[in-house]
Amino acid sequence: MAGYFESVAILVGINILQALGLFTVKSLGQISLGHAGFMAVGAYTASLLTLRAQWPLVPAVLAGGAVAGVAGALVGLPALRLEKLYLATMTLAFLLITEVFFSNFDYAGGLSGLSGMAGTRAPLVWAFVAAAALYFWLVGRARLGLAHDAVRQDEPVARAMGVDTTRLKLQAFATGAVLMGIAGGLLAHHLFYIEPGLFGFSAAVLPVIWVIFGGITTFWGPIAGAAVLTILPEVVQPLKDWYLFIYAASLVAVMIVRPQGLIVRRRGTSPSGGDGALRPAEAPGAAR
Amino acid sequence: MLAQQIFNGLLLGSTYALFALGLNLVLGALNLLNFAHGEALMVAVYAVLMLQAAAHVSGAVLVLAAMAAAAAVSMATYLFAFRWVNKEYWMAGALSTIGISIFTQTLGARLWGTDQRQVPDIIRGPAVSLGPVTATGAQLLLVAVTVLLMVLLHLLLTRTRVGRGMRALAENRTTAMLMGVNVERMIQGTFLVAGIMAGAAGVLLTSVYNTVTPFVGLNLSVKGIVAITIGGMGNTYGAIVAGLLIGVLETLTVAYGSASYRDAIVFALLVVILMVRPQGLLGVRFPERA
Repeated sequence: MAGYFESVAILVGINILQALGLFTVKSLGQISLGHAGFMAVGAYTASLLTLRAQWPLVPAVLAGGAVAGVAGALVGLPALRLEKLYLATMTLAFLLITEVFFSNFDYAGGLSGLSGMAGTRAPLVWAFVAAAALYFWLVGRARLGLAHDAVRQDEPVARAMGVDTTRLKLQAFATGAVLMGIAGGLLAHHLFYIEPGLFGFSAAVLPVIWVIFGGITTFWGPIAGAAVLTILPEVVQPLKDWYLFIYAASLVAVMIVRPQGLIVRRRGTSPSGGDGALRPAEAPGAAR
Repeated sequence: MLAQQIFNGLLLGSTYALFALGLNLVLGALNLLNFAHGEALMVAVYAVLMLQAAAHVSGAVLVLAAMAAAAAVSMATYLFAFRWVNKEYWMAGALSTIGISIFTQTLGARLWGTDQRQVPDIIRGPAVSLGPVTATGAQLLLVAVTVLLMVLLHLLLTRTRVGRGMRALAENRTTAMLMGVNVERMIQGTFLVAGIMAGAAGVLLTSVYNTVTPFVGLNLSVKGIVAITIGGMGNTYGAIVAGLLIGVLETLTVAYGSASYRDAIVFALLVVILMVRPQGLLGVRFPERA
């Protein structure tokens, strides 16, 4: 039973890392449907390093995060010139290209993937989660956090105030990719195997759902969203058999009832104010 | 050989075009990326399968049943992803369609199993030789039906009151309302027409591939979204051009390259288009900056 609890603890931690990875992007009012692609990059890099080069786990996972971060910057550079729907489409295309790439990458097993990775333990995962949370906590207290708030609430005004919005977005995109890469490396060494199909569209949608459940005003939202939605199906067994139904139905329900997310900082309680929701002022393309 | 491959590509492409047209109508009029559009097609194909198994009916009835089934899914999408969703949140509708898509897929897998199912030909006919190209009767009918539907859509959009209303809505919702267009009715009409076209595309696609699984929908939605982005979001003729282009490109990649790169080449084309011509091949509206 101890093994089962540790397995759940590991999954919760990995999912929190993913949710935070997407949160950095969403908190700037952007959307990515392709972040599972960065997870694939991190998972494959780390696995190849431990399997083929006999690296220890921690440096391999960190290297996976670094490579994913570089990939994030490369994808982010052209993608961030695009807005809204176009960015969503572009990141989606990146995800699908990654899947095709790894399916044809024979050194990494092609369609059948890699197996034999091991060693992810709960304390290690939670050390990464703690480091990520510390990072977001520190950013929230720094000028960088203020700049993030400003861009989220009104990008043109933020730009007029001297915030380099493009650099900020690129930085957020790369940071998110690093977190996804680390999550991927940890997941690979927990599952013992990876295959390209593991990082497909459904893997990309799940973090979106967690972030939406949690809301994007504080980084605690995505953490709570990922934790609750990962633990719930484990605790309530019928949910496990029907979890895709419930996930899908609740996604639709939340979009109808509470599109700003379930956990939202009340207007006026934060020094910067605003609930961070994507209102027309921040999304002129949608107002029509 | 090359001519035959290009013909096959155009066949496949015309079903993509038909599918993308519906997606594009909804996007142009409502700014909604509909990830559930492919599920309308999937349900239509299974409706045909079930009807074929239950009763002996003619091809025309099957096609009508497919259109009706797809239209029903499309109208459900209208309710759950548009009517009841707060339009202030630009991504809420699209995310809701992702939810609808996953829900329909999972339901389909429970109802009909996850195995690939054979779809018998709905239309049969002898092979015809046209110069270097050989086509079956079904394929020729497919081309005829696709062209007919496209012409009908063109006439609907340009020659009727309803079409004018739809175009006004796509142009500017508020102005359309002020000019006396019944906006909500137009939106319902848009989803209805999009669903009917998805049903037709489903019938045509099965006569190209002859198999179906509950999971074909999402992949197609993504491909359709790629097509309308390449063609120019909201541009009717762009969707047709891009659909045909993707069909030919895919067929040629499989014939002369490797089948495993079929999807990669299309997505690579999308990336190139987004970099050098973000408004799409025939697009006029440049993507707006926030």
